[in-house]
Amino acid sequence: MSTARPRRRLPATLVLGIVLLSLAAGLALLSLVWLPFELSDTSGGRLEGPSARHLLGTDTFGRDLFSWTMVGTRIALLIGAGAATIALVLGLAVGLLAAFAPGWLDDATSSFLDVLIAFPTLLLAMLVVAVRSPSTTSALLSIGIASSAVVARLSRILAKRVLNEQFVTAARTSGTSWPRIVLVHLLPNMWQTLVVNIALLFGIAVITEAGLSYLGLGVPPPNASLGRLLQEAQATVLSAPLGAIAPGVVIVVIVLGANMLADGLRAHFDPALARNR
Amino acid sequence: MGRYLARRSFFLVLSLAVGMVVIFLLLRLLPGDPANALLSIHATPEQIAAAREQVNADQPVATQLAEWTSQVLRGDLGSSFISGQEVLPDIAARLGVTLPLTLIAFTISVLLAAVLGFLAAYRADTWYGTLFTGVAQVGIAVPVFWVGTIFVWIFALRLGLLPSGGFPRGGWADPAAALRSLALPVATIVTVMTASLTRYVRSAVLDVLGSDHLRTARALGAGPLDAFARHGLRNAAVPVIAIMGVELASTLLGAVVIESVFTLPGLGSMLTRAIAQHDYPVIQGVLLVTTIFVLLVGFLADVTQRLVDPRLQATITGAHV
Repeated sequence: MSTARPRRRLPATLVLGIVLLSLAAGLALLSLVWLPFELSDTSGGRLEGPSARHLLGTDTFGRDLFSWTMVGTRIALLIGAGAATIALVLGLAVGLLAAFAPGWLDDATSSFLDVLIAFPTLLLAMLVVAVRSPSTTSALLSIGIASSAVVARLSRILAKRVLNEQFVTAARTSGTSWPRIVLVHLLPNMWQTLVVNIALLFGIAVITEAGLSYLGLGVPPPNASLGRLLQEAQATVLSAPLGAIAPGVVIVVIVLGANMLADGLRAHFDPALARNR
Repeated sequence: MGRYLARRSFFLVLSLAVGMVVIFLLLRLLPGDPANALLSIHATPEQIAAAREQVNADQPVATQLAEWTSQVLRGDLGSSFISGQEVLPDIAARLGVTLPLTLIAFTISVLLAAVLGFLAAYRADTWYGTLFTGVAQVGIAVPVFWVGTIFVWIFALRLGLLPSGGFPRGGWADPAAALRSLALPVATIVTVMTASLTRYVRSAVLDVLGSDHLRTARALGAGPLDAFARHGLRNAAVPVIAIMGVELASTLLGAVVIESVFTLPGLGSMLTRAIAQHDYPVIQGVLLVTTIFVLLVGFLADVTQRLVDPRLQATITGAHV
C-alpha cells in the first residue's frame, strides 16, 4: 500500500453499520456453539416472563425465546447473505448480457426489468413460493431471484456507461477480447456501486424473509425464523410482550446496520457525495 | 404530448400483455399441471378433476393461454379451486377494503413526508432536521407487520382505543365502524411509508437547495422560501413523483402483510391464503388485478412527471442510457 495517500477517517455511518451488523453476527455465531436451551426443549413454564434462566421468557409451549431468537438471527443473516449473492450473480449476468446485446434485445430486457422492479420484492418472492411451496430453500431462491432485477438494471446502466468510455474503445480496437474487457475494464469500474447496492439488498432480503415467514410462506418449522417468531408472539403480546418485541428489534438492528453500511460505503467511495446525504 | 401519450399507452398495453404471459407461465412451471398442486392439500379426486377441467389442463399450453386471455377479456377470471366462488366478484368486494386502506394511508404519508422531508433538508443543520433524518433512517428498517403488532398491543389491547383487527360484516354500510377498523392499519402503513418517502423528499430538496439557479434567485433578492417555491418546487417534485409511483404500488402490496396482522378481508389476505392452498385461479386473478394497478400507477406517474417537467425527452421508460 502506498504511503502517499493520506488516511481518511471512515464515515460514521460506516462504523455504525459495521457495529450493528457485528452485534447480529455475534449473536448468530454464538448460536452455533452455545444455546441457553435446545430449540425443542419445552422444560420452561408456559409464557414465563423474562428471568435469569429465560432472558426473553418462554412461549406457549415453554420454549426459551432467547434461544429461538438467536437461531432466527442466524437464519435471517444466512438467507440475507445467500439471497444477496444470488441476486448479484444472476443480476450481474443479465445486466452485462443486456449491455452487450443488440439494441432491440437490450430494450426488451430493460423494459421487462422496469416492469418487474415496479413490484415489491415481497410479492415477487411470494410468487416463487406459490410455485415451489414454502421451505428454507424456497425463501432463499425466491428472495434472491426477486432481488436480481434491481441488480440487473443497475449493472446494465453501469456497464453501458463504462462501455462508452474511450479506454474501452481503445481496448477493443487493439483487439482485447470481450471477457478480458469485462474483467479488466468493466468490473473494476462497477464494483463500488454494486457493493453499496448489495448491502441495501441484503437488508431488504432480511426484511422480506421476515415478511414471508410472518405470512407462513417462508422458513417452515422446526427451523427458527424471526418473522414466524413475531407471528406466533402476536397472539400473546398482552401477557408476553417481550416475545413480540425482541425479534423485531433484531430485524431492525440488521436492516439498519445494512443501510448504514451502504450509506457509509457510498460516502467512503465518493467523499464529494457524502456531504449531500 | 399527444404523441408521447400514444407511445406511453402502447407501452402500457404491451407491459400488460407481457405481464399476463409471465403470470400464466410462472404458474405452470410446476411439473404436471396446476391441478397437481391440489394433491398437496389433500383435495378430493372430484375437486382435482373439476380444477383440470377449468384450466383446460388437457390442452397444449398455448391453447390454455389463449383460452385464459379470451376469458379475461370477457371479464371472467374463473372460480376458486377450493371454494368454487367466482374470482372477479370476490376481488371486487375485497378491493372495498384494500383500496381505501391503501389510498388513505398513501395520501397521509405523502402529505407528512412532504413537510418532514422538506424540513429535514431545509433545516438540516438544526436538531430537529437531524432528528427527522434519523427517524426516517430507522423507519425504513422496521418491518411493517412488527409496527402493526406493537400498535395493536399499545392502542388496542392496553389502551382499548381502537379495534385490534377485523372489519365490520356490513362493510361500508357503517362508515364510522369501517373507518375505526382501518385506523390502526392506516397508522401502521403511514409510519413505515412516511419514513421512506421522507428520505426521497429530503434528498430531492437537498439537490435543489444546492443548485446554482436557486443561489442566483437568492442573490437577486428572493427570500429563501419564496425562491424555493418559485424556482425549486417543480425541480424537487420531479424525482419525488417518479418514486411516488413505485411507492404507491408498494403501499398496496404492503397492505398484503398488514391485512394479515389485522385480519382484514382484503386482497392481500386473499392472495396469501390462495398461495398457501395452491388456488391457481385466485392467485392468477389477484396478480392480474395487482399488475393492472401497478402498471396504471406507473403510467400516471410518468405522465404527471412530464407535465411537471417539460424538459423530459420522449423516452418511454426513462431508464435508457
